[in-house]
Amino acid sequence: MTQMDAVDVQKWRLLRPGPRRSLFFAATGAVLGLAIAGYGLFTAQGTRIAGVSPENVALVNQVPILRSDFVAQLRAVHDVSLGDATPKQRREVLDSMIREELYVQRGLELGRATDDVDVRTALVASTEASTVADVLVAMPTDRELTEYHRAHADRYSTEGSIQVDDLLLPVNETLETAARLRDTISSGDRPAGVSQSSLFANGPEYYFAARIHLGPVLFAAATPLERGQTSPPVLSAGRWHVLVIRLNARPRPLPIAEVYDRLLGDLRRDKSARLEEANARFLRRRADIQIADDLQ
Amino acid sequence: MNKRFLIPRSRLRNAIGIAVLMSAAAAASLHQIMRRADRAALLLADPEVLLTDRRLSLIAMRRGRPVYLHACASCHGENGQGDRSRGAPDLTDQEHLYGQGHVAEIERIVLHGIRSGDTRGWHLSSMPAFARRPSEVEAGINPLSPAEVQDVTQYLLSLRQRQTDGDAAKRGRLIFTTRGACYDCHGEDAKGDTAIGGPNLGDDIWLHGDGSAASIAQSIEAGRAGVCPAFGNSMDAGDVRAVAAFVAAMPSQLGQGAMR
Repeated sequence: MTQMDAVDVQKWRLLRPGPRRSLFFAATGAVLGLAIAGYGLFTAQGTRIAGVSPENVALVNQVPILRSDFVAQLRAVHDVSLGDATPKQRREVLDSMIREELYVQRGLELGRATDDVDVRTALVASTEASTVADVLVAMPTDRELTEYHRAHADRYSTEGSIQVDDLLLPVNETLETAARLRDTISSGDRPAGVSQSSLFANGPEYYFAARIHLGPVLFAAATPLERGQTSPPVLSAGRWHVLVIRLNARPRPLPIAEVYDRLLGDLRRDKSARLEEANARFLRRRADIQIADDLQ
Repeated sequence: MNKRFLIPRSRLRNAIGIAVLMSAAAAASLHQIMRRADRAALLLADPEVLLTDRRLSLIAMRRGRPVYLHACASCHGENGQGDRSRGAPDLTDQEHLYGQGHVAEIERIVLHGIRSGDTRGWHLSSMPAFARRPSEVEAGINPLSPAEVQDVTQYLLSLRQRQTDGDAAKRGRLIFTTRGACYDCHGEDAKGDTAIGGPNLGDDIWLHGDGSAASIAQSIEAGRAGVCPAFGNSMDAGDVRAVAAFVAAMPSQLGQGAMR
């Protein structure tokens, strides 16, 4: 090995201390670190930055105006796409959005959020919505849906429908005579003095409507019966009634596939309500609330 | 052999290791830089040119597909074919429930959802349940009787010449355009209204069920109100734009190619 070769080999000995090399690496590391930190710092959301990031069209006191809102506004106001909009149209829409943002910020400065009833209502709704945003985005698992469906099976069924001949027995009948008339009716005859109410003249009714029209007593007597059956005499509003069932389609449980959207909505609503309740408790706990003596 | 370039093997290993690490770091940085550049290009472009500009559409398809699979496929299916048992629309047909299928419109849906609780989302209409007591039905909507539900069902079947009772269909049309108030969302001609998400009832595309008399009656009786979550708070703006373009392209060859 020549002397030159020996020097080359020495240069590649990385484990051997080399002050100039160490300095070089340290300086490179420092510069790289600073560059990465600076890049992260000035592109992070919520940080004061020199430019407007691509998803926004403007920053008003560091509050962004979203490009998607701008595009939607262009469509709403001028019915044009971003590409087809003239510079004047863009400017006009952007100016109106900046104006709105300035007024919102000014309104907050002036405390309108606490003074104005409409703003308060909107603010409460918006804060509630942001509290439950994660619940609304997350898709429940199939197991979760199945369990919820099973636990609230009564909510997920068809509305039953029923058609009844409501026969009114003569006034002032005793129970015994009413029972005899009922037996005659059930054999298919219509004894003299028995009249039929005008209910169900237009055919079957859903259970909810039948409950209203028949009243709770008659409805309770009618629903357990099958088609063709006759009820025992039922006393309602001072008169004996005999009910002949023409049709009784009872509520039928619906499978998940038929109520999926309702099920999903109900499950999310329940979850959201629990979360909102917990959030309200948390806010109360951390707040300094003083209540007048007479309302303690 | 020229011994001048002979380097001890152990030193060579170290050098190669450092070089590989630095290359990997450089590649990762370059990837990030390119990703950010692509994101900026997607966001700065007019949403409507994303599907016609070759470079931008490639970026959108490449970036949009994984986002779609992560956020949308659980309801709309891996290939966008929808799921009628969940009321998730087929995204590959030309039927649009909300808007005309523009990228910007789909982007708004991704950002703000449908009946998602986001006030900027679509929430103007829901299908009322007509077999519910009046207090449960929306204000101004009257419940219908079972016979009336059957009449409206016959009318809707008649739009495809599948009615089994012509008189019932005539009565159903009257209910549709008067006391049922169905026309309010679905239009006098039952062709729907994309401005509020009222589905077209005259075609053979069904959001729920199979279009049979039983499933139509079920929708009328129990109502419908599908939900699309709002991703505005959880998804990057570039991803939102990319997935919107990806979904907008689904009915076309471009989208089907991206699916594969």
